[in-house]
Amino acid sequence: MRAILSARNVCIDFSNVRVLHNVDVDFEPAKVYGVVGENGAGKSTLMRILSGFLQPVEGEIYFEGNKVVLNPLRAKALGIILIPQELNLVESLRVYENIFLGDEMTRGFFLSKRQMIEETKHLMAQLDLSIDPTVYVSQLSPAQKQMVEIIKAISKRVKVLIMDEPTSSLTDEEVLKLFQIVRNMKQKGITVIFISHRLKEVRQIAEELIVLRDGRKVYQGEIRGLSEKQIAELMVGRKLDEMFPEKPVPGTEIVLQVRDLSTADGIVKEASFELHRGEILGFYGLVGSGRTELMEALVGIRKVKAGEVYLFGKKVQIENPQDAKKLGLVYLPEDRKNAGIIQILETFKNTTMMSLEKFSKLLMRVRKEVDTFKSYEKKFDIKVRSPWQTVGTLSGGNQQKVVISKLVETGAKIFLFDEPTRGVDVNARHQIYQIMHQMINELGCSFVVVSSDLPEVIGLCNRVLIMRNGRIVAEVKGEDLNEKELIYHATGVKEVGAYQV
Amino acid sequence: MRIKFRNFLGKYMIVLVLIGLMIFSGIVTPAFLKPRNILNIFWQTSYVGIIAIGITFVMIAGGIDLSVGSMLALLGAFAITTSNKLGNGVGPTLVSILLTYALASLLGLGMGILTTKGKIPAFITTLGGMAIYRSLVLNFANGGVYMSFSRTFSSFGMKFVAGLPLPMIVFIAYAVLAYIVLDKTRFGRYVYAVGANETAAVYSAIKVDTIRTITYIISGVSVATSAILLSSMMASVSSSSTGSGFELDAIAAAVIGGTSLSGGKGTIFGTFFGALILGVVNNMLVMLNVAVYLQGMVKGLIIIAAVLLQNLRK
Amino acid sequence: MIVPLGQREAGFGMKKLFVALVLVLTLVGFAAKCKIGVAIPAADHGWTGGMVWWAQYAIKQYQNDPDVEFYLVTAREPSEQIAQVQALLARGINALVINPYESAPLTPICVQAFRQGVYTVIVDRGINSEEYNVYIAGDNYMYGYLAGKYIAEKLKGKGNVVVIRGIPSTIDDERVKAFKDAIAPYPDLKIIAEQPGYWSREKAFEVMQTLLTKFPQIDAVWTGDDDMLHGVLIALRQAGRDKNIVLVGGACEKNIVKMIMDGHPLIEVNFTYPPNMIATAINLAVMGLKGQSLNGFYQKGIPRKIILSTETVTRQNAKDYYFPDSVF
Repeated sequence: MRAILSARNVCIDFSNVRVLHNVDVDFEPAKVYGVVGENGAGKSTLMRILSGFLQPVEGEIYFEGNKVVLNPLRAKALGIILIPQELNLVESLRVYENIFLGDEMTRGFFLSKRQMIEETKHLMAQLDLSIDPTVYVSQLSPAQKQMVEIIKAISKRVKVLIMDEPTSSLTDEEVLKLFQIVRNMKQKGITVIFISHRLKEVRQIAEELIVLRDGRKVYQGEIRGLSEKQIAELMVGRKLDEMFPEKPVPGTEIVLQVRDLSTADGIVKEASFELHRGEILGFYGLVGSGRTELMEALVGIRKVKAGEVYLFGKKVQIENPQDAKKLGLVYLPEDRKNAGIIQILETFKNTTMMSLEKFSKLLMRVRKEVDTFKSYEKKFDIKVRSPWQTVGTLSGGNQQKVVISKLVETGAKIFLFDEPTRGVDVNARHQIYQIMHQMINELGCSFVVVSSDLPEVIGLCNRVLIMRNGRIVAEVKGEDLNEKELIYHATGVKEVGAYQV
Repeated sequence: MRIKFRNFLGKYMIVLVLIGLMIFSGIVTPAFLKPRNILNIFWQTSYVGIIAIGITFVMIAGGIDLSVGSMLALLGAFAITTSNKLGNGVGPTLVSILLTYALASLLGLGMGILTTKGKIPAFITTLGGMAIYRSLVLNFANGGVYMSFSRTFSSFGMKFVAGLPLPMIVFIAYAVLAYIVLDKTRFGRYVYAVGANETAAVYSAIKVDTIRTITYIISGVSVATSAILLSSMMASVSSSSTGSGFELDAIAAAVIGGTSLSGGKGTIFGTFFGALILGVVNNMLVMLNVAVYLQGMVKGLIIIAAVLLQNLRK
Repeated sequence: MIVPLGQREAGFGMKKLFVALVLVLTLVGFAAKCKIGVAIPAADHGWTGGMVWWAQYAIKQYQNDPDVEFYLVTAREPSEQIAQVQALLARGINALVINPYESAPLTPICVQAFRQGVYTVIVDRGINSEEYNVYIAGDNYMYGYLAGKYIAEKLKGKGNVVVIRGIPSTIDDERVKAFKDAIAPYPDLKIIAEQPGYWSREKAFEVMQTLLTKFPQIDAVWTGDDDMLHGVLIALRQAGRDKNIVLVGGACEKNIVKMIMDGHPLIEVNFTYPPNMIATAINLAVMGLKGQSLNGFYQKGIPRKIILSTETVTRQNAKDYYFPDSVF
């Protein structure tokens, strides 16, 4: 079949560094493509060129056989629409207002709201969705927001839909729903291009796989024959060791004990658990199950109504993050961009941000700070041009390593990691797991890991606690540590058709 | 190499703008370049400049302080009144100065607590402060003037030290001190963190409220310094006009110097030169005898141009 | 009016008495409680501070008079003043004494008050209409003119003059124009600089400091106002040039008047633009409501437009213009 969108020999530079080298790629109508690659491989860059947001320095773009020079408006008019990872919605506007933003329906001077609402409902029905067009986008869940973006694209008669990491904030259930919609669109003849780090999902939904590595296309072809491992190896360019290191053997000492903890806002209810020295304890659950809130309560960010916390056997009162830090308990936030790093500051300053007392007598000793950072740079393989580089310009994986370095530098022994590998590429993911093991073996640390990534939870943790509606409802370990068990406890619903006792 | 030059240009662009303005004025009116005039510019700029330096801390931490103009009048009036009551002489004058600083710190503390623990936006609290302070000053003078009767108090505002006017020396010394605090201490680091990303600062176990409150105290102390110098020189404070408009000039100086209105960005170096640019512009208007009704336009255009030129580096 | 049954038989005499009683009571009711609203700008510089003080002073003179009640309001900008006047009208004032913050925006509400029958006295800044009862103001023209004439005569028609003016406004423009008219016949008298001091001591100080650096020879300085004159004095003293220069301020601030009284070498003269015109205006409002007239006039009623004369204050008569208790 003739390609609808093609790139020929496309190259682009950023600050005199070539980022895409002679990329040749074709996309056919009514097909689903998965685009994978490490961070910095050029996936987002290529997509932005294809959707008109960037101009290549060399090469051409062809649409329906004709050479085109694109800009965002022209691309949209042709039907090439990009849904970025951070989504393009205006939180303070309603759903239908977002969908028709820029293309509002009017009657003379006035907006014909009723028409727009009706049209939105109509579009939703086409994809079997039922989101109320009049609610504010800020009230929607991440999954619903993703759906609204798709509806928006459909309303503009999309022909090629490019989605950048659409599933990173979705639970497994919601991902399935998304896939259904993708299949739906394929049937309508739309080309869907899917960038994702989740190789498992890519294999589920895509028909054809495109692998980018260091700015070049290294593979385009059928996905059916490839295993996840093979795909990962194509991305990295070498044979990967096993993703997850061998699980550590936890000690018997109980380093953290929580009894009947409830938060003042009522989200977390009577949570109780224990963490052993050298253990990696997982917390699984659906979005909104209260895991993040529990972690925040433990480090004093969220107000606690009742319950007791014991650190290293001693009862403690943690009212704010300073108390937690002093006691050696630290938290890696779920929202890296807004709560983990300070984007506009230099990288090394982020590393030392929680330990400034160590680096100052009267005045700051910047040399010592930089040296400290450099040692983490080496140990954690943090890819930076210089310690003075603004941390916001680093890739997700490297940013996360910087946040980890910040926490390690405080000398803490108990780490609460919340979605530690979200938005992090395969290689960095692997490195983070190794770092965790290093910390357990060399520093005697212990971990609680909140994660919605089933393979990660299963592959990384010694045991897993499942939360549902603010309560810890189950503990799973050993042989029971599998997807079926975890999902069952998280949703409270046994898989349809499995009527076993 | 090109990138290095561009960064250098960006950092020092503000100095170039200043020099450019001065050269231009010097060509049109040679009297501008008289050493006496340059000294005058520093002198006249000092009062707003010292306040601008204080406000830089507040703004980098993500806040704002609209009350500084009225506070200037209030603190100046307080200084004059206490020094009048305590009488002539070095001792009483020093005491009145100390008391003024104490009051300023208290007011700053109050503003800080209202804004942080009270969770009221800084714009509102300091706007309220602006109205309250001005009203207090007017009330106690019935709309008139506070006159200083202490010879000692009104003696140092005009003093020259090593050939330089005292306000200028204080301004420069203050700037150097502020630079060291902001750029080279732990506290300064926290100020930037809090302003750049408050959430991340909270999660990084930084005492955000404390840091913010301290910046308001710094602002108060800065205003006190300026108030003492100004009221000493003029030997009076007008309850109605002293300090009016200073808040806008101070904020403008900081913004011209690269301080971001949303927090996280700014330098004392930039504010220092931003204040000087404003001072040069004011001086230019008089030196070039710019027509009265055009002055606002000329001033506004130059300020916009100064900021635009600096944005070129981005 | 229903007359009770019993009284109907009382006869004509009682009825007359009753009617007379009612009439008297009504008259007394009218005479009681004249409500007078006074709306002026808030103090933003010395002179306006003085006006507020004088308004309070004038009102205090009536504190033992049960027939009059005053409401004094100050505004920081035109829209605030409009709202205040509306509130006063709603309160049912009989007279309005107002120094409009700005002429155009305040005109409609003043005209409305006048048409409602409120006795309107416009002070200082006018309105763009003739519909008012009394207009009283200082003489901006003579204020500038006399200053110019004085300087011209003192310098014998030759010299460098610096003009430091107030907040750019129509009032200020009028004065400056008058000043220039006065010195026009003297071609050797040059205005070498004309800069705004915004009626502020500090601002005038800065401007004068800069001008002293620019001009080695300055023979006279006219500031439109005494607050600015203070600033100029400080600048002159600081530069060591406080001799051989003619200084003229204005509006008779009490400290400057004292200096004239004591024979200051540089300041020998001042011109009035009295902030206590508001006190006169308040009195006129009361007189207007009571239907009184001015002494020496054959005509009844209050004259509609009163321009207060700009009086020249010299060492000889300074003590008549010295009000040490005033704030200005």
